[in-house]
Amino acid sequence: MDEGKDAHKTREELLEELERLRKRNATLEAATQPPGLILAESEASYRQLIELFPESIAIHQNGKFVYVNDAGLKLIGATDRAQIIGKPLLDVVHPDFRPAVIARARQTQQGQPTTLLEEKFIRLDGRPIDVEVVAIPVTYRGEPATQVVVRDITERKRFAEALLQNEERLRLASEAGDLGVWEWDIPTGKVNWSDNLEELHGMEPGGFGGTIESFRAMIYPDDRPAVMVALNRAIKDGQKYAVEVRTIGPYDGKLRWLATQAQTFFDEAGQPMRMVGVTQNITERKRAENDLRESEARFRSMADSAPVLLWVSGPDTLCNFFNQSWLSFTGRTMEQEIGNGWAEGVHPADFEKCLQIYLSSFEARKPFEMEYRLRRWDGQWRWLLDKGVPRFQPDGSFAGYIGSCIDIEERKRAEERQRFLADASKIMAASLDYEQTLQNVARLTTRLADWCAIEMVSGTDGSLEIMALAHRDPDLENQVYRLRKNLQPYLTENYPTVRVARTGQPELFHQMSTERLQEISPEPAAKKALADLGLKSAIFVPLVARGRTLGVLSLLSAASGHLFDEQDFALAQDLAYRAALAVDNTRLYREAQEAAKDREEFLSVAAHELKTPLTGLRGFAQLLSRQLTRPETLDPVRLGRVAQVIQEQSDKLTRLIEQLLDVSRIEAGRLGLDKRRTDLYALVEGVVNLAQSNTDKHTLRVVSQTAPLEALVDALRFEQVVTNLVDNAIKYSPEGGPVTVEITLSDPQTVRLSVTDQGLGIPAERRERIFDRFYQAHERAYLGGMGLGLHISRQIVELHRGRIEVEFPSEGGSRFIVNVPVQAEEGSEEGFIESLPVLSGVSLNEDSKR
Amino acid sequence: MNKPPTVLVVDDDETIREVVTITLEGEGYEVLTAAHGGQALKVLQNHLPQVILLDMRMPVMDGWSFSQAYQQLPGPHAPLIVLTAATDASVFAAQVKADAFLAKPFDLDRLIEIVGRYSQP
Repeated sequence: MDEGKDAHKTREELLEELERLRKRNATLEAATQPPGLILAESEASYRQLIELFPESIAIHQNGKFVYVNDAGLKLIGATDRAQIIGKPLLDVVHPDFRPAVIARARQTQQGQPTTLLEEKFIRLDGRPIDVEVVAIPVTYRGEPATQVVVRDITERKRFAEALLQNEERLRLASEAGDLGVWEWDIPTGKVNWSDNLEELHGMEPGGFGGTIESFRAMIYPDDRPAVMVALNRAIKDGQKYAVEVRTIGPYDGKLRWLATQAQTFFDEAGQPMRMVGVTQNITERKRAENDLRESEARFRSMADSAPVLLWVSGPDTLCNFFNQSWLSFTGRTMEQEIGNGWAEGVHPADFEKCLQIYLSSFEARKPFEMEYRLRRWDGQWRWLLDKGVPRFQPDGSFAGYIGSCIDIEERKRAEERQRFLADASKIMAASLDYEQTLQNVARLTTRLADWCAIEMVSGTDGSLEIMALAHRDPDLENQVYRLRKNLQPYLTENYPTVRVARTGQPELFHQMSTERLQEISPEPAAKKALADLGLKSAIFVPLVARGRTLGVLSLLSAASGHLFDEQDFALAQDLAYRAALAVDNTRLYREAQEAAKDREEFLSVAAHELKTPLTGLRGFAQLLSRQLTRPETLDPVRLGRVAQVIQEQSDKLTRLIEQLLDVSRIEAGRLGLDKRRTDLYALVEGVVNLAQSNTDKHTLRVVSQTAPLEALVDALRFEQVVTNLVDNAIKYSPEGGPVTVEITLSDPQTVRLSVTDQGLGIPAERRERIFDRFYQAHERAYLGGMGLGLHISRQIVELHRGRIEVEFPSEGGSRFIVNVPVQAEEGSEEGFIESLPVLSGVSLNEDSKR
Repeated sequence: MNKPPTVLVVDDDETIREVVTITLEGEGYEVLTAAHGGQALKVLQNHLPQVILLDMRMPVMDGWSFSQAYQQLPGPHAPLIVLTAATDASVFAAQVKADAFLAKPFDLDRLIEIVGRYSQP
């Protein structure tokens, strides 16, 4: 449009120029009338003039170029005049235009100048150019010729074509959508616009005032200043005008969003002439944008207030949003977290797995769930459960993921605790071996602590003895064990395990302070050992089963720096509870095993012992019947002997059965005493005399400084003890020898009975157990009896509040010593039946040692 | 007349020695007795019995020690018949490589029968 005007102007200019030239030519022509000199002069000045003329000028005569000025040479692409002078005119004319050129040549030959013609030339380099040509008839060297003024319009034509195309496009666009085109003539202030602009602005058809002022009036007041600034800038500096403004429709009163882009055109003097622009209604887009902004704001406020950690990633897998909960959790900023920044907080051990799950789910656009540890702001690793789901745009395109995480540390720890305890129960149930179980418990506990020690209450003096120790680093086990052993002599009442064993109350040392360690023992050596252990934190829990503290389980932390907390403490107690049961079970099992073995042994011994007299009894009974079948050989002496043996053997059987019953009574706690004042000297003498009557090989002697010697005893039971000791002395002196029985008052309140033989004695390794039930000092070198004698004797003596002991004189043999009080203790009355407390049927060994 | 076969009875119980002696003598055997392994070895220095009846649990020297010492002795060895309580009899017999066992308490007929079998040349 504006280019058309430019073209028009140029055409006018060209014609004016041409007119000037023609007038000049006419002058020159007039000057050709006078003779030579003037002509020569005028030709020279003419030549000079056209030589310098900026337009291309050529003269052709008889169809050939005879003159071309410098601008013409340049236009046609010649460097030298020789390249063109003398050449046919038509050589430089595009074939399509040759007829037209021939026509206008003919016209000029007839003395007629042409109007402005558009032609197409071919340059010497072959490039076609669009040109405007004006031809006038001239006389050259006395001959008629044609002078042409040529201008290259190739660029202009191309621009015009492009403009035409743009205009077309614009027209199509404006018809198709909410797009209007306008033109502002700046000097006049008139605005021309396409019809649809009125509708676009919400006004009646033809309602537009057509001035910039009426345009300004439509702009939403708040936006006016900005629009004016932009307009001014566009007019002054030629900057592109591009604004998005709100307008109020004068007709419908509706608010609209309009986007305008425009360009200013200036004249040669740099004065703004016109502004051409395109305006588009973008109200819908704005509304969508606003909706989006609002929904995003809503999402953000929702996300930030959600109690879960949220993250959002884009289709490129990179995270682009984390909610406030996430940022508060990690203590990092959005900038640190977005992209792949979040990965820095994931535990290195979990990262690889997480990434794999994330990427493979991403690939498949599938939801995923994963657990990993994330570093919290305080540096603590916390287990998170992260659930990610793919997001899709309304059009169905994949937009990335959104994930929510919850802190499952507590749940995880609870699960771990449960798993740990389940494992513990399994491991502890795996063995019935006492030591093995303790070792298993210690080993298991190293899952909670750097090392673990189990100290058990010793059966004899109640002191603590270290039974198991396990360290996370097995190489350190011996070192720690040694250090712990070094502490053994310093286990004062203050030592935690000792205290815990005493009180039965667990203790937690969250942080072991030096002062705390100093309290444990004042000994420098103990302090050193404790310092070497490098304790940081500790838990001591008692192992309690059936109301008894069996030992103490210690959980200790050193190198790891772990500080035990209340949860560890609770877990340790749970563990200790199970451990105590397991340990107690193994102990019971072992005792039951031993008791069962004892019983088996006893049965075997009892069977053997009962069978011996039974064999004699049966043999003689059979001898008797054999004799009776042969009456002729009946011998009264022999019959008497048979009767005697039968009598003896049944007595023997009776005694054995009595012993068995005694043991049974002892075990049931029903061995009662009927205490009466008794002369013990007489009692001993009676036993010794009877024993002596049964042996020739032994010499029995009673020694006493006091006779009679009265004490409060159960006479029958006491006699049983003396008989047992005397019989043993005889039995264990199979080659005969002296047996000395001494009965004295060792002090006014105590009767001392000793039985000394010079027989076999008892092998050193067996002495400890001789008072145990069924125990026989001479395993195979068997001396009859069931090993019950001493056991029963001991029970009887202890029921009398006495003690039984054994000595082994260096010259050989044995000396059994019984001490019993002369009187029963205060408050005890004559005839009072005392009995042992009911003993547990299964812990016989334990109890029998008392 | 051939010399009657000799039986050595090793048992710490006097009554059992007595009933075995009476019974076997009644059957025409010559019976030697010992109260434990040590005594038995002494007897064997002067006698070569055709059968040895051996109790196992005895003082001074028990059946196990005796059988071990007996095997060390040069010359022919008489069959060993272990004479002990039924529960142990077969086990003990195997332990000392005895030829037979007789569980206590035993019948005299059985005693006569088994001694008869092992005293045959």
